[in-house]
Amino acid sequence: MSNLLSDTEQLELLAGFVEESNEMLDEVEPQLVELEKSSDQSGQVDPDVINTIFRLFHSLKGGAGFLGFTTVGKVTHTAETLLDLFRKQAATLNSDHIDILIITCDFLRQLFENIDIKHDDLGFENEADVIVSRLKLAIDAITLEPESQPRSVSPVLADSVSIDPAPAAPAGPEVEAPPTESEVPQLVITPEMTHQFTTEADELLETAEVALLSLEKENDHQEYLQQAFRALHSFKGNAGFFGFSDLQRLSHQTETVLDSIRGNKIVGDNDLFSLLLEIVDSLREGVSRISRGEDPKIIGITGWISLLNETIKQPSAAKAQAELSAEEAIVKAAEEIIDDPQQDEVAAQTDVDVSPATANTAPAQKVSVKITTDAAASVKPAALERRTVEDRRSQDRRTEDGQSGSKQTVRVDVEKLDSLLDLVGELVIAEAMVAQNPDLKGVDLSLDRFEKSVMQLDKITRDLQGIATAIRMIPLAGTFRHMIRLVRDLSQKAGKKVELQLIGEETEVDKTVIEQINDPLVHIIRNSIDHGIETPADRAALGKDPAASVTLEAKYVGGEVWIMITDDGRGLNREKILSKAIERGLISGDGSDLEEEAIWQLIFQPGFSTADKITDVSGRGVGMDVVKRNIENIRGRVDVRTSPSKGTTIILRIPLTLAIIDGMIVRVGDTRYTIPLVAIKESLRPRLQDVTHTMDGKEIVNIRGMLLPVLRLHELFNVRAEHTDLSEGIIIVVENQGETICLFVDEQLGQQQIVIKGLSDYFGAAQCVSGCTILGDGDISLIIDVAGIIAMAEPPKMPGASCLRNDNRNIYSENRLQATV
Amino acid sequence: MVEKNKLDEELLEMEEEDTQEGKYLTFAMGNEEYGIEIRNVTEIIGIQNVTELPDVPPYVKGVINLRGKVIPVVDVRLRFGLQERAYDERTCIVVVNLNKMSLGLIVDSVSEVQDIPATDIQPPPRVNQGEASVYIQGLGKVGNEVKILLDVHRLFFDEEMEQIAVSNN
Repeated sequence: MSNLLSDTEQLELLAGFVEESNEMLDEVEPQLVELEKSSDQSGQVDPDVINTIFRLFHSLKGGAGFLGFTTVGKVTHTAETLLDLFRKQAATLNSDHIDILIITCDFLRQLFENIDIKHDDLGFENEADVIVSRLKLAIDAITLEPESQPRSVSPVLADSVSIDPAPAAPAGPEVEAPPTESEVPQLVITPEMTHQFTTEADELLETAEVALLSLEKENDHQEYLQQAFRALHSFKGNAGFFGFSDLQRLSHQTETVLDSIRGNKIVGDNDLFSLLLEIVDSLREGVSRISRGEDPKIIGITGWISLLNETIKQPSAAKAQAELSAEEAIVKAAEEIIDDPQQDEVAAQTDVDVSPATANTAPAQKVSVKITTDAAASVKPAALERRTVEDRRSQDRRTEDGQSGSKQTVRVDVEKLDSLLDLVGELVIAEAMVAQNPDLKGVDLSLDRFEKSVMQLDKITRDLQGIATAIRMIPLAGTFRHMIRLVRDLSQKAGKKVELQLIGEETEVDKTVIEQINDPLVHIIRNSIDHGIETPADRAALGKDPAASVTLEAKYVGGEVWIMITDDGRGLNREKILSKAIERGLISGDGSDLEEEAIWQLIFQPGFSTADKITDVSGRGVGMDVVKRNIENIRGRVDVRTSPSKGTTIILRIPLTLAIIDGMIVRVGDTRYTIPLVAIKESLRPRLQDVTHTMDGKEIVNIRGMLLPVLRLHELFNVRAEHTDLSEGIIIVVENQGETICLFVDEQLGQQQIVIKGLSDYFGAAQCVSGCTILGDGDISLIIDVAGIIAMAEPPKMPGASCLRNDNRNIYSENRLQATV
Repeated sequence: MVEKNKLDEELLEMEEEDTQEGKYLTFAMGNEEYGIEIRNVTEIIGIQNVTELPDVPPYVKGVINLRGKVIPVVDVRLRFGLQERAYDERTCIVVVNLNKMSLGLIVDSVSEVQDIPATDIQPPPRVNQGEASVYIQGLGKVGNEVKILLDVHRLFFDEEMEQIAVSNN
């Protein structure tokens, strides 16, 4: 198969496989933890969860088999065998099993990484053998226990490295008894999965259709037949996985017909291919119903199926009927074996033995009779239904152009997205440059029509910008789910019981945010579990539930996304933090004048830790510093709320879009600066009597009783200002993290949405400027870093800090010390 | 402007031929002619509005907007410690690409692209090393004239700027 593909196609296939497999593992891990929890609590295993995990492993195996990754196939197959035992409730699951499975997941990740880089899974055979033998040990322990294993599974199963995806496709032709799996999954199938199914199903049907059409032209072309067969087979498997029984049945029957053609039992003529094509259409119809969220049933399915059965019987020759129906019986029996190798093994065996030998035995005949009557009864309605289906289909075509049509996705290189976003940003600037072009000021004519056009352009640009930004938005679910595993491992290590609750996983944030947020979450959760949460004994003594809870919640608040990490531990210790801060010289005085929020913020200082002992998890005081820095990188802020012995909530507040902010443009002399609007509290022109000059040349303004220091922007940036008298210019009161200062500028020019551009890497990051933007006339305006300016203007917390940059140097050297200690 | 376009075209051709070895863009400053290797140069533009930045060495004039891209510019006169001179219509910004960054050099005026084979290049003089001579890569002889060939990397990165970059990373 792989020979048919070009190198690039193969690479794409590999990349897709690795990505999907990793996604599947991401899915498996939380489920495993879930499983452990439920089996711990009640000794009962949730069959839904087991089924999900089983299916995921099965899909992994299928994918690996298709691409020929034998190591992956071997490991997943053995794991699947183990899981199958639990699925069959042949044994109860314990935490040892979970451990092995988690180790298996880790190993698989390693393999996928290797596949991603080297495109093969070789070189891990020894590790794989170790894992496989551990899994087998677990399997043997279960299967060799005579009592608990009524339908014993032959251990041979574990040894044979069959990586054929076929055995799993649960394909029972019986109408009355759809496979058990199909009843369960609704609970665990997410909309994304369904969406993926429909996309994939459409592709598969497309392939099948193309192959059938080619087949119609070149009748005996085996390759096309194979293609159609494979596509329908995968389709059937997928449909079975999701429990769409109509789709599964119909595709199964079609597959049988194709198989008959393949086996030269019947000859494909044009009528047959038309029928098959119509069936593909009706399958497509079913898929589109799913994507519209409707019941995935196929209208006239019995009619279709009997028509198909008719075709198999067609080769009217004398040997026909009995033999064919016997064949059907074999197929059926074989499928039963496939479907459930343990259950009906014996029964099926006899069936297979009997029917081919004596073609006229009773069971075989019965089958054939049943089919014929069935077919006769439903041919007519089927024909009728076909017409209605056709009508409907043409209707659907029309609506598809509207909105209800099938949803499709495209995988796009992130770089392309980034450059799209850049270009859109530039378009916004260019649009402003046209609209506010200074040349227009000299024109005496009426600009009505021009302005109308500009408004139109403006609207389109904004829409475009909105969409371009939305493209980069990704739900937090993936990041959140990683934490399930983390919490499990940490709580086990710390000997504490912790329940993790996830809320608002579907909240979408920018891709950059996702990248920046993982580490902070890890550090915060570590801290919570290691320091925040008490031991079960302590908790019991305090009258708390011995099982602590950690909640991870995401939601939109105004223009921000809030990610809240809440624990019900002991809360932050004000005295401990203060004494540590005084000891380290972070604050002057005894800290009694500090507001609560300011004290909590101390924990984000690099190297700050109140931990009495350093564990291998936390205590060095690096983590929270990382939190603050990462979040500030994406222009967010960290809030802390805590109450003693009740718990702590840490809130990561992150702006929705990273590229655009509302800014106030101010003028100092000829230069224009931008101040982020969120930081501005008010602006005013002070009266002279409200200004106090201290003897070291500082100015303090009294605004309604608040005494605030004044910072002259023209001094800070060393530019010539129009006004030097405070009462002639204007004062802008800015605030960051509860600290407030006044900025003195010449004039406020107005607010506007601005696109943030980074200053060149040439300058590095911090110089009281957080970036720049390009104004309507093409000039560059620097964006003022309010937090940086405040830190610079208010030295008490940072002794010897004359400028932010020096400050950073101190921090970094300290960091290095911390790291080496 | 016409002249500049022509130069751009020449540069483009240069790139296509992929024979940038030994080619130098020469520009004038005061009475001397200087040259930088053509492979670093991406384009030449007229002087633009420069936005000044705080906390940078004086020769870093600030940033300009080049078709939506923000790029830092360095005044070569100030870099060499020469007398500052008001910008006029002949003043050019030579945009170069270094370490994957776009950077601009402000020069008095751009002259031409010249072939200077390695055999015609002498090492910088060893006697009486002035402060600015660290930027000299060599001395190129073109007929009777001498072009001072500059190390572009040095022009932008010295201890001072590097320290800023290091402290911020």
